[in-house]
Amino acid sequence: MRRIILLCLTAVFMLASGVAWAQERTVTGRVTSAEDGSALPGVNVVVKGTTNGTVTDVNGNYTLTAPSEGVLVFTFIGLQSREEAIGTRNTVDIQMTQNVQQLTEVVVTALGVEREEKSLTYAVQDVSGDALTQARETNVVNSLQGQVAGVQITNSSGAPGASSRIVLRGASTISGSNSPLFVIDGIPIDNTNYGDAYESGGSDMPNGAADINPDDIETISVLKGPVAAALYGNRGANGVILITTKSGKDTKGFGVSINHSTTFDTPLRLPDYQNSYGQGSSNTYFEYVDGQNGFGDGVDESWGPPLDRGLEFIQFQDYEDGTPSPWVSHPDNIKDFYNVGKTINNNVAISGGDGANNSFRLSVSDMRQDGIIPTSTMDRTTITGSASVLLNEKLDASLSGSYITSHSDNLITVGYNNENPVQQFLWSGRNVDFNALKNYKKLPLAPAGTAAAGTPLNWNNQFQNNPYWVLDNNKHVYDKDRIIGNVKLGYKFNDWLSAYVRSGVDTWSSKNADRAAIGTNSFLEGFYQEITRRFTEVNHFFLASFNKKYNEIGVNFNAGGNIMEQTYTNQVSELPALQLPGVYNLSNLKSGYTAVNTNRLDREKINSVLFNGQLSYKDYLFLDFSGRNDWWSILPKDNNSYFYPSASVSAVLTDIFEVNSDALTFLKLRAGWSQVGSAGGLNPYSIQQTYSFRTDAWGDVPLLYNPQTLNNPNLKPETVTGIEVGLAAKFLRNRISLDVTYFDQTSKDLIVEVEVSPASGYEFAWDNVGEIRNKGIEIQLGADLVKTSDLTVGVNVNFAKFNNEVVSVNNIDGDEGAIVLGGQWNVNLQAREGHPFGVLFGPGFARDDDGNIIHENGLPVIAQDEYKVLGDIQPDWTGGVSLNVGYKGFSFNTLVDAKMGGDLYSMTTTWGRTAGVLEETLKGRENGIVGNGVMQIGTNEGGDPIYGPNAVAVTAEAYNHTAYSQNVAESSIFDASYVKLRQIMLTYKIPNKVFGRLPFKDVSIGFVARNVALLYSKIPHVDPESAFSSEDKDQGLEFGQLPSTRSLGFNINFKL
Amino acid sequence: MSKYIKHIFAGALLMCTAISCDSDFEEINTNPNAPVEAPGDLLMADIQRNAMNVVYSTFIGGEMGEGWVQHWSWVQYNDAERYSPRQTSIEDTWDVYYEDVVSDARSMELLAVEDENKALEGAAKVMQAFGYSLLTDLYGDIPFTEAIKGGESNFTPAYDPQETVYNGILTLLEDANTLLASGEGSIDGDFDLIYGGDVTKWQKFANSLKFRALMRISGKRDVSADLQQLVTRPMFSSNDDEAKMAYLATQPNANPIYETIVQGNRLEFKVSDVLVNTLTNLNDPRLPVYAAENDAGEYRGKPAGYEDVPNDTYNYNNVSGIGAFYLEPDLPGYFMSYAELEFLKAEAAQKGLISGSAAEFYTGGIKASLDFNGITDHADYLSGVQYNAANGLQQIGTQKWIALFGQGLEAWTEWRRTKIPVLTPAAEPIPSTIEIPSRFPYPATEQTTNKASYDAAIERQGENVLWTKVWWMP
Repeated sequence: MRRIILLCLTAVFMLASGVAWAQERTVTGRVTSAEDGSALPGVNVVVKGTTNGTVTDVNGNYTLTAPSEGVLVFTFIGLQSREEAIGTRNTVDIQMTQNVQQLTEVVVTALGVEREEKSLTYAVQDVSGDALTQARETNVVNSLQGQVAGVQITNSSGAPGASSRIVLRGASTISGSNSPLFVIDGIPIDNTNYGDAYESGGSDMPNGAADINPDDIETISVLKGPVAAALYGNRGANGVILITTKSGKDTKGFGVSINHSTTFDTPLRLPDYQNSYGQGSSNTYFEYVDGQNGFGDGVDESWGPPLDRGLEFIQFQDYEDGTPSPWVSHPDNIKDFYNVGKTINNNVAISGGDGANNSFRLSVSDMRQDGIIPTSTMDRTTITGSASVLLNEKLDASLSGSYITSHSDNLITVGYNNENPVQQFLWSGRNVDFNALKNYKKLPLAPAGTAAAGTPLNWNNQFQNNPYWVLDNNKHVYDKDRIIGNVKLGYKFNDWLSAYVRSGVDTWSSKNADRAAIGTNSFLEGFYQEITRRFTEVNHFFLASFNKKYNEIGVNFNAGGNIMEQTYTNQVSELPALQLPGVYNLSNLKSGYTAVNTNRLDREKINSVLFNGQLSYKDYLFLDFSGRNDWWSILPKDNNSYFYPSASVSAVLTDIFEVNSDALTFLKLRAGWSQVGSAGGLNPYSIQQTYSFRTDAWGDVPLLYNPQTLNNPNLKPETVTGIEVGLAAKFLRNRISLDVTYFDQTSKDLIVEVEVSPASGYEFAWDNVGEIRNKGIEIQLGADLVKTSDLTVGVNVNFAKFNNEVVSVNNIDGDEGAIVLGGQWNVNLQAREGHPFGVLFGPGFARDDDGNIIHENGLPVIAQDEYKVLGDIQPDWTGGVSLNVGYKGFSFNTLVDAKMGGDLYSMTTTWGRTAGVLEETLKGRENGIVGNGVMQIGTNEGGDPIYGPNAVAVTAEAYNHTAYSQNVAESSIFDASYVKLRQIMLTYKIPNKVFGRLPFKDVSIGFVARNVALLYSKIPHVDPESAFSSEDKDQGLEFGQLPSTRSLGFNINFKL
Repeated sequence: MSKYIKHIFAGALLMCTAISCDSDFEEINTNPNAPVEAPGDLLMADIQRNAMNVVYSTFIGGEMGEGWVQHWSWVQYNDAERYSPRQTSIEDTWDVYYEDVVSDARSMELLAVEDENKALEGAAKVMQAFGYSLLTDLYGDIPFTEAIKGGESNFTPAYDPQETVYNGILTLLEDANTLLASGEGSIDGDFDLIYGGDVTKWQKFANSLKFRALMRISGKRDVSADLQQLVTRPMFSSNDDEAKMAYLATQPNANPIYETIVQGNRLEFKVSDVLVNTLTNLNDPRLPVYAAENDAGEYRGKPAGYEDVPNDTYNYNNVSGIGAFYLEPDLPGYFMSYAELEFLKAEAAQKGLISGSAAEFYTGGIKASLDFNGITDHADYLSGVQYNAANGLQQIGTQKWIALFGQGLEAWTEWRRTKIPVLTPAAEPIPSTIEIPSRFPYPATEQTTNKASYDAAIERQGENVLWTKVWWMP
């Protein structure tokens, strides 16, 4: 409509100008913003139909020579283009308005192809880079939380360097990773988590994609299912995350953009502790002798004497002078342990170009993060550059690349481990003033005869070392250097045929140095380990594109090929004991011990040919099809070639039926089918059987053995076959948009290490046996509630409902097979037939026929021999609601996201209750507890027990020790549903005119708060969003959570 | 149009085939990290280490062997002593012996056959025989004929009756004797932790082990001819010949007893009152070797069992720990001792199964044990325990029980056969049956991974509990 008006206007002007004068003259003018009247520099001004043009200067002024009958075309990215007839004027001033529509119309699809949203035949959702840079999450995966329907994200913890798990639509493999493939500018990158975190220790490391600098991201496009990801063949089973980096494209001249942000982190949630009873197991007396052999000082529980009642006992702070000190509570002793974390981020980007064919962008980013746990840090510097040139009309060349260097002083140990400081806040004495341990260099040493002998004194020397000493000495240092980049050469044969080749690389090396000082509880002789890793993946890609329109039929066809080569090596050197304290060098091996050295080299190669195409009819009917054939080196030689097809259609009904309604502006239906693949957990060399060397030799004798896993020369890849149908609709003149997708995808031939009878000589054998089905629905809803020139109010809602089922995991009939993924104490995390992926399987309480817990002598009875499914990690639905308000220069954004369903086995509750430190353990301290349930009150004629209400009282200590321990998981498995206020952002964009002649422009100042509040949770004490790492095996399990953080901070952006 | 697409794709495919899309894949997917082929000798050390680490594991040979035969006792964490063993120990024994002992010994045998190395082939058969006898003695009926055939896709091997297993073991050892006597082939001494490649000693081991196997089933069949034939062959003739493996001074290759009790600071491991009383009554010089003094400077054992430990009667301070000699990191691991052979011969002679003097064998056994325990003065003790044929079997059994201190599984197995000395079951056992266990239950994993075979074995042998007797038991 606007276009028509414009054309009319042009016509009117042209008519008004009367006879065309062939005369050239100089035209000047100023281009300003319709929103705030500020000058718009860099706007292209071209005489229509010619190459004659210029750009506006810093003040928005331009001058050019044009014929009087000419029409000037004003263009600038993000602004509505304008055409203006010159007529008789010598001065043509215009105002330009922002183009809101344009930003959402183009979507990046497979192979980085930008497509009009209208023509899409499958579900793709994208997120703009702005959302990421404003959110200021250090791990880019976290910033997708709540933004995209059907994306499940779990941030492991609040520690610097913590990984985040991302799964699209649901788990599709058992043995392998369920992470989608990450692709940056067409180059697949490694998103593996190489950390060694598990339920009993180790440290989490950033997942590979966490290296990506959010400041360099233009858009992220999420290809959720196999139909959208079909072109990625055997790497597309989990969907694809396409990242497009910023470039200097559309820059005219030279621009500098600067961004600074500082955020401060505090724990989002700490356990609720009791502050009424102190350390020990006797409620009348306590005496610290050496932290191990005194009265109650070796007990790391709080069933001791009452606090704040005027009692005095000798405590650890009285170790030297022996004078009792007051037995009082320290309600903030845990809170005070945590620092205020701080993240400072600076980015400078310079971009330039001629506004059309040649451009570059250079960017340097520096991120420094200090975590809330003392000594924990993560620093990252990213240097990025990109350039593209049009050599002549046919040949264009471009390159882009990033160097990323990351470092952490200390990746904090997780899980049930002496080195996780949170452990001694749970196995703890509530009278302990942890701050008094901070200055450990001035403390005496724990005496001989205690487990912590020779290390600085601690409140308990039997099970724990001084937590500050551990953090300062037992460091887990991490370094990583990474280069991601590509070069591309394109050739345009003619209007309808073009081709390009691109070579790209993702290569990194990393080093972990893990130290344990002599005297560490779990490494009395000390320990030192260095792990170095190298990874390189090179891709050479070729694509030819055919693009032509025959009357009303549009034909687009691409065909090409790819060669992928991947190499991974690692080397582990370990000293099991140190000769001299404090020297962390691989030569400092204690006499009589043997160092352990191992290394590994993995290589694989995938060769592929592929094609895809789209036929369109009248721009309202679209048919997509694609095919890819992969030859994969890790598969059996005679069986390594697989073909992955897809087909999908869409129809724009509003265009077909020429619906011209303000109510229903746009309606499209789409449907698709596809097949993609995966190797699951299959590694290189899993076809051929070999012998293997033990990592520890027998002195100087190498130990060779037959591995416990039988390789299988007949394996084939896993396949995911899926359908999806959907609709996209816009209502009320595009004010409301709706996108709904239903998907149903089945993963078959899952490659599983099947547990076999050891009497076969093997414990596991690789086989294609598993099947998983994922069904669900994804809904996105957007509404512009208010849209005036001053005020805009918009709401975006996304929602996804999931149904995941492990159909089978082995070939045994009638057996409810299960594969163990991970676990914690007596609970296994399993893929179990007939259940969602990731069930928590463990011991529960014995119950009567009515489901009441049976008690004996007042204590609940545990059904030790009947392990059962107690929960699962699969959410029922996830969703997010964001509200965006713009008023003049202000913009306000808030995001609430929810995950409903899914469970967490929280052993913070288990051990915190056993140890009597949690608030709930106050119940019955004085008068005892009568457990809720039944007890046997007789026997019926058949000899079966008769139950009546439990009436026997037991002490709180006895009750908690029985009802909460590793022997019974049921009492600590909680519904992990949550609603979080994920983000609040307030930004003010200062009008450019404020700065007058100063070189600043586009200055914006923003306040940002992330993880602001946990609005709804059924789990006590911890953030329900928790895991030991991003790996599947570490999901649904929690103990000693390194607290997640709430961050508050500000952003400053400006351009020069 | 679709024709055009087909052509392009066909062309691309053709191109790929022409230049071959997978020509270098075989090379790329060849494992550079581990050998596809290896000399058989290289497997020997790991087989031997694994075999001994189970026998000397404090949670296997310790809790179930030494505990149930009442050499050791516990002042805390004593569930196993009260006949509720750790499920992981039950599983580990099965897993390690099948996956790492008999399976790897079978691989070693096949490699030796390929290399026509008869000496190594013989030693490989001895290791298999040792592995299978430990498995069947502990569990009863076990997979044998169909075992370790996962490579041929048999993942659910049927269980054989124990008699079949024993027949197989005897054949393995008979073949081993022939092979080892052939004078052909050799064993690389670097990887042989028992004999450093001494083939003659391997032959002695084969025959001594066969003697033990025959004695074990001697209650079920007449083995006298076989035993008599063995006596004429090379067998252990001194402690120099016996099959033992020296542990190293440091972790992870130190004796597991040291690693758990000393390194792991697990001081609840104590000695039994039966041990202390028996040795005290005999005025046995091995008492201070086997046991440490308690805090009061006395030797005091604890009876098996009791729920509420530690308590005033039995605690860390007033019960004797295990003697320092047995807590040394380099305490050797025994496959079979010369002393045991001598006692078995004494029993055979006493029962008339072989010719020779029971008294001499008896005395030889005691001397061998005293020597191992560092006691050089034999005379006094020997005069106190002189052989008396009327009470001979009792004496032999008691001395064997004493000599097998440290070798928990073998001591318990021999006790199950002879029931000498008389032992009282543990006080306050966890299960209701008050009886010293007769076997290990099958691991739970067999019920899920090999159910049909497992069910058939239970059907034949009896309930899968600790008290079901194995075939050779009286």
